[in-house]
Amino acid sequence: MRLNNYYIIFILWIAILGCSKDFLDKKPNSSIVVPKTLNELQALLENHSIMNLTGGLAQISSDEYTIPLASSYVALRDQTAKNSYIWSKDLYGGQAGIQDWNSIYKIVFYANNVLEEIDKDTFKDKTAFENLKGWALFSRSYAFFNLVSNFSPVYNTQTADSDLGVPLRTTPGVDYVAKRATSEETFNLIVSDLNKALLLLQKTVATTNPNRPSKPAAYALLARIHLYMGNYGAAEAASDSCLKIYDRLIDFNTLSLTSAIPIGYVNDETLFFSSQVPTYADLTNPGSAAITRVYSVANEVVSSYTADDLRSKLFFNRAANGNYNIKRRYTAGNTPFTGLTTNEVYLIKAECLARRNELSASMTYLKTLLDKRFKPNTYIQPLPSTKEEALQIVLTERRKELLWRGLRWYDLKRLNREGAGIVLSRTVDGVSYSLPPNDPRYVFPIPDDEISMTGIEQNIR
Amino acid sequence: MKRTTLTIVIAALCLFFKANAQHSTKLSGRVISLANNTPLAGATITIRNTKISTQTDKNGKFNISAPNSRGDLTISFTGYKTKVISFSGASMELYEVTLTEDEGNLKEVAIVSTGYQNIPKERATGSFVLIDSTLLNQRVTTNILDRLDGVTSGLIFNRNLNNQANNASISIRGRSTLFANPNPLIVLDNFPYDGDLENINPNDIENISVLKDAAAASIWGVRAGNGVIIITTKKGLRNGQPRVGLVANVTVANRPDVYSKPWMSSEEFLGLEEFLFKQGYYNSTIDTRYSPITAGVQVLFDRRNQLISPGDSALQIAKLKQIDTRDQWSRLFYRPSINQQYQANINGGAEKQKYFISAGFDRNDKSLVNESFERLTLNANNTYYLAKDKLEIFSGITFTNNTDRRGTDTYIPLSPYDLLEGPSGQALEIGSYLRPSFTDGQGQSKLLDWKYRPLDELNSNRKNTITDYRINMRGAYQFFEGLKLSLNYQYQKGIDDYSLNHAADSYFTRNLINTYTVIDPLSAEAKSPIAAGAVLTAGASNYSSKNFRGQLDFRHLFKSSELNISMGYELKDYSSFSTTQIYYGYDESLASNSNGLLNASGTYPNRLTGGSDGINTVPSQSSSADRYRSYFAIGSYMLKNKYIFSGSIRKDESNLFGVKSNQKGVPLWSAGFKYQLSTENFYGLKWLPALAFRATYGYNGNVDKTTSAYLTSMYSYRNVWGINAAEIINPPNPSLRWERIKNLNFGIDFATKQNYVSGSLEYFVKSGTDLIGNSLIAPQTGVNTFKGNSADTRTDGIDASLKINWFRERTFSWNTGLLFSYSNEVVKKYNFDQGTNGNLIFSNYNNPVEGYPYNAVFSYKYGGLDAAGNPIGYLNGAQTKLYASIQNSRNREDLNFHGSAIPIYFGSVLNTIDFRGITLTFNVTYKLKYYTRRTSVFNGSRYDFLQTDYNKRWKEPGDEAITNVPSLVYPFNPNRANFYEGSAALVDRGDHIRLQFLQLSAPISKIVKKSKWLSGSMDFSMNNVGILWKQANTNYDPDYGYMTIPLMISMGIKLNIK
Repeated sequence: MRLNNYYIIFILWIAILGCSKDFLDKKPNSSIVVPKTLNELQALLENHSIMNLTGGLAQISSDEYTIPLASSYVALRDQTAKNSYIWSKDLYGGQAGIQDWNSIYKIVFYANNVLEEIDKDTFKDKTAFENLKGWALFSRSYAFFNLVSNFSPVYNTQTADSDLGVPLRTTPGVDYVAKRATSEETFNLIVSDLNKALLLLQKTVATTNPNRPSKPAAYALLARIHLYMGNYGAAEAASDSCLKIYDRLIDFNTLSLTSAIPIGYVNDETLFFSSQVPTYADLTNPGSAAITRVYSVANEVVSSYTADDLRSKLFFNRAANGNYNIKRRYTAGNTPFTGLTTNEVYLIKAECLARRNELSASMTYLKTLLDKRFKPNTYIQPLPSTKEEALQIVLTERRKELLWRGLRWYDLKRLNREGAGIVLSRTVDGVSYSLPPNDPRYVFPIPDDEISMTGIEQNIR
Repeated sequence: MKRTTLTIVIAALCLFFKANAQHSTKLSGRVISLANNTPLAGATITIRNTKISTQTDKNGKFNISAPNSRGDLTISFTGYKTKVISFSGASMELYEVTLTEDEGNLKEVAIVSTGYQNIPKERATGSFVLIDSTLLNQRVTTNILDRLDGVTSGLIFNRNLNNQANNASISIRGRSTLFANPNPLIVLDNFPYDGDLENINPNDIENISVLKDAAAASIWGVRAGNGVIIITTKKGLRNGQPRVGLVANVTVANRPDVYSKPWMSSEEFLGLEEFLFKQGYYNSTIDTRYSPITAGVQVLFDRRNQLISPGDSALQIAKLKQIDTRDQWSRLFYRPSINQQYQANINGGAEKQKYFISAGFDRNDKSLVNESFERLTLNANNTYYLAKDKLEIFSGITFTNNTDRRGTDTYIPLSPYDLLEGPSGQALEIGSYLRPSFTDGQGQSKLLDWKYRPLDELNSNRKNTITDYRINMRGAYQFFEGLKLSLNYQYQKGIDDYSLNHAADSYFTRNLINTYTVIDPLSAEAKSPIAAGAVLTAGASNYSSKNFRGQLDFRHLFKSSELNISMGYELKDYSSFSTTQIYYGYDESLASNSNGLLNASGTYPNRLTGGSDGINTVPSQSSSADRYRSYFAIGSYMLKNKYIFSGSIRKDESNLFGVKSNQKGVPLWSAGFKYQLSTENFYGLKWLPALAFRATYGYNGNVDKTTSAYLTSMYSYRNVWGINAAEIINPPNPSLRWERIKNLNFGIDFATKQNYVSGSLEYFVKSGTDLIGNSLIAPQTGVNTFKGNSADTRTDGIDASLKINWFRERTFSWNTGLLFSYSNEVVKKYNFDQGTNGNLIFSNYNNPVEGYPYNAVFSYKYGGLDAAGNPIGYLNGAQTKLYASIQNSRNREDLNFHGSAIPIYFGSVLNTIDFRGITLTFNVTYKLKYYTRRTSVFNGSRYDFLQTDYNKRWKEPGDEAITNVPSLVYPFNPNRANFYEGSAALVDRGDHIRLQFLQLSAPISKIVKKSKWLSGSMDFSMNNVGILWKQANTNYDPDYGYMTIPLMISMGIKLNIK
């Protein structure tokens, strides 16, 4: 009897233990995944509030605006914004968590994770695989270009070997510190990532999902990079390749001049969507009927549009106190759009043509664009007689067209490199501040917390 | 009682006459405990002056023959007062003999539960605290755990850390983890409790055991790292008469004192506003035309725009200065809270069965006028003894339904001078959300009323109903004496339905509709994508938990020793699912909505910002699963009643996310030894008849399910183009391991003769290894913080408890229970960078420092104020005002280390005085050697009114000699303000002594005529009576901050009907 009892217990035991082999393989939370499949990896890249960002320091440091009231300047709460306006040597004033650095390196981290995971497996859907991999490479290139334009001196062929670039992280591990690469190494990685992406990305522009890059977007970025580096031939070739696939422009005559969102998230011109980090709202975000921002778009810009130019109505909001605040373009969100659009590619093409003395071809490209910006048949193609005159026309139009896109600061950097000699100046409460060409303050300091944790080299301002 | 005596006397007399002929007497009866009506098995019955004696059986029954026809019978039982009954006659049936507990001896029979075994405390090697029903009933609370405060050695409520991330509300012997779950495991009747603790009716609880060391808690494996609290519910009584128990309590607390909140007077605040207005501080707020500004700023603004005359503005400001909104706020929003608690139960049993059935009802009308809580609990359990007591079958069912009602609108004053109610009682508008002058002019009367009137929003439109079932089954079969198999199963299911109903005329709904209303410029037609009607958010979440345990208990008695072994296997499967949906244009009468009119991926222009937003209509669901498979074995060996060895081992496996199978499990073990010195023959200390030593060692574990070895992401939202987007929540970390806590415990238990003084003293060391640490990491990695096994901690301490019986007379007794705990936590190792001095001060919990407590209070060295009212700090030892550099410095020499934020010494003194049955109990708790940092103080650049110290600020040269509060500066200087907030000037000692509660209890026999069938007591108690002593000279309660919690007064009655 006793033996029998033991036997029964033993059987019972085995029966219980034997059941449910997969018992512990259950996922603890439905919304959590270990991303492995293409869909799961794509979901990371689809996170536009992480992946489609650029810094904002360039915008708030540029000469596109002024703060007319001294008391408004004094009242600014963000120390970095305050210091940027007067190009202080100490930019961050003790602030940590600078999004211009942190958020952009987060893009690099996401892209690196996708690149690492996607190569661990083979996927049946080859098109989707290639497009996703191209997307991650594009995003990394886009992020590094944003970082190097902010935190390194302007690219210079002579000194690129010794100029400091940014730390180049190409693997997702968080257990190591990357030291600053040279400017040359940084640009090499940016361009090589982009060239790899060009072979992988789809040809069609994802108009309804502009957060996704495409081949034309990659060409547009390549054109922007080469223009910044001063490689005008390569910039022109890239802009040609882009426009060959996709050259649509929006006719501003079809837009509502009174709408608060004349060009929304989905439109014909956006090749790749990105927007500025939301840190500097007071100095960058659009104004509206109900909100007057403390900044006013620089008078020289506001007054540069002629009466037939639709842009002045579409771009600005005149507030009750006289401030010209910016309106939304290419976005319905609150932070300014900084992505890639076809109009920028037209302007790069026009600039490169002017630079190699193709004056009328340059003006034709300009006209194609500006016809869509003026009332019908009111734009008159200029007839420059010299290369310098043509270039000046293109650059003026560039400034007017690409206003508030975070690009002006980089144009100042590259134009001053070529001797434009543009001096920026501001006055606050009777005190004047100025920024001479090629001043070390054109390079933003690396955030203090990064320096203190990694010991990487700081920029001297 | 008198009648009973009379009956016995008459019966005895009758017997006496009859017995004259005979010379021996047969006596029989049953011995039960007075307190809980349980039969006392093993009580000794002796005929006085003879050697004849017997013991009661397990039903408390006895039969004995006396050699003489008259004499005295003594009935004794350990822990009870011995009773002497005279007898005479040939035979005598004594029916029930009740014994009353002897307070001084009670400890010896205490049974502690580990959830796996019930052990007499004297045999336990580990560290247990038993809280019996007497202690639990000294306070009236809705939540059972609140009754442990101040009566449990080694356990502390961390009220002062409530706002800190990952804080444990209760700690047992300090904190044993950094970033994993810091809370003790709560076990209710054998299984970990998965429901809401508010579901447990405290009147259904028999006792609570708190397990502190490895020998006690290791058997709970990977969830035992923070200690275990075992709650045992009441059961019936075998062979007991049916008894009905009734409990009724009402607890009243005064309305919270809004005047104790940090607050600036209207006059002061208007002065500050005027100063800031002149500087242009409000300009950007004013420029956003809908942004709220206070009535004072509006007057100044109107004056600047010359809309009103200087005289008018002065008059209006003067009027505002007279107003203190707190009068109305306190009167209209708050009330004295009233908590009612009722419970009725019936319990008893027959020879083969016992049962306990109860029903409870609670209703709490909380101090905010629109908040209330109701709870209904039903509890029934039944035990059957079959097959000659070899088979025991238990079934229990518990049903709970609680409803929590509150409002969704939380009103916080915009200024100290806003009136809520007009002279005729009408609700007044307050521009907390939108500026009145903006809403006045909006939409040319095409929009809905856009005014916010807090009094009109004061309703209970948010309702949570939690329904919870728990079904327990247990079958135990005893194969033969010494081998028992038991199978336990528990099924628990909880459903939480909640609804937020924003009525059609609520501010929320009107605001939502107006925000998205577009007025056509041509036709002037107003159209909103949100249809008229209510906005209802309805959701439900439910969980179910299945637990199974199979356990084999083996017991063998050798000649002079005893072996006990239990082993078993356990499974737990917990899953939850929740869903939420929002309905626009909801019509309650038709239960219809207008969500169909909205496009899920569309965006709608926002009237205020000028941008356009998506309007969420997509229901959301989420689910989770928690699974464990465990194997365990516990054993003990007792030799000659002197030496006790114990051991346990357990292996847990779980579906810990992303960890490879072989890393899912972790084995944890313990070993213990107890030496009862006083049982040795050579032991000669007559005055100390009980003396024993204990030592235990072992490991507990802890789980952090939020980290993973793999890259993990979470689907978080849809991007603006309507596509699912995910974010990375965990970077890959292949070396991740489970946390382990090593426990070492030494104890001494002692008691003097007749238990006049008894107590225990324990020394413990808890060492956490492989603790998961969270650290700041270089931003270039793309993550802000990184989690990994990076820390070791060590806590050592002492738990002492002492009970002194000063008097034990029949009409008067007085005893004192003393608890003393010392607990010293140190982070021994931390692998990561610990950040700047600013990080250490303001987020020390994220930046533990080696050699300091986890909850360390650091501050900047403070050099007082300079002649201009600026605070002076130190950088590398020298005085400076470079505040940014002070914060970013890593030179720890520039910091003060004050001490721990949690008390190093704490405990209580519990006095119980009994005079003729009337009992007075009072409990004084103390918390010593710890530090608090005052918040909500004026820092020089703080421009709101919910702060203190503004009037103590530096105002003119010379003030630096009398104050530490910096001068008011403009513009906003965050570094100066942060420096002051982190400076030594704001750190105070938290040490205090508090009269926690007192209770006066009288048996109803003092009031009602003595009754045979009715007994009970009437209680009056006070909880949170007040602080008796405080080291810091501030009006800041170290536990509760500025808002002192109100005194709670309870009146209650307990009745027992036989």
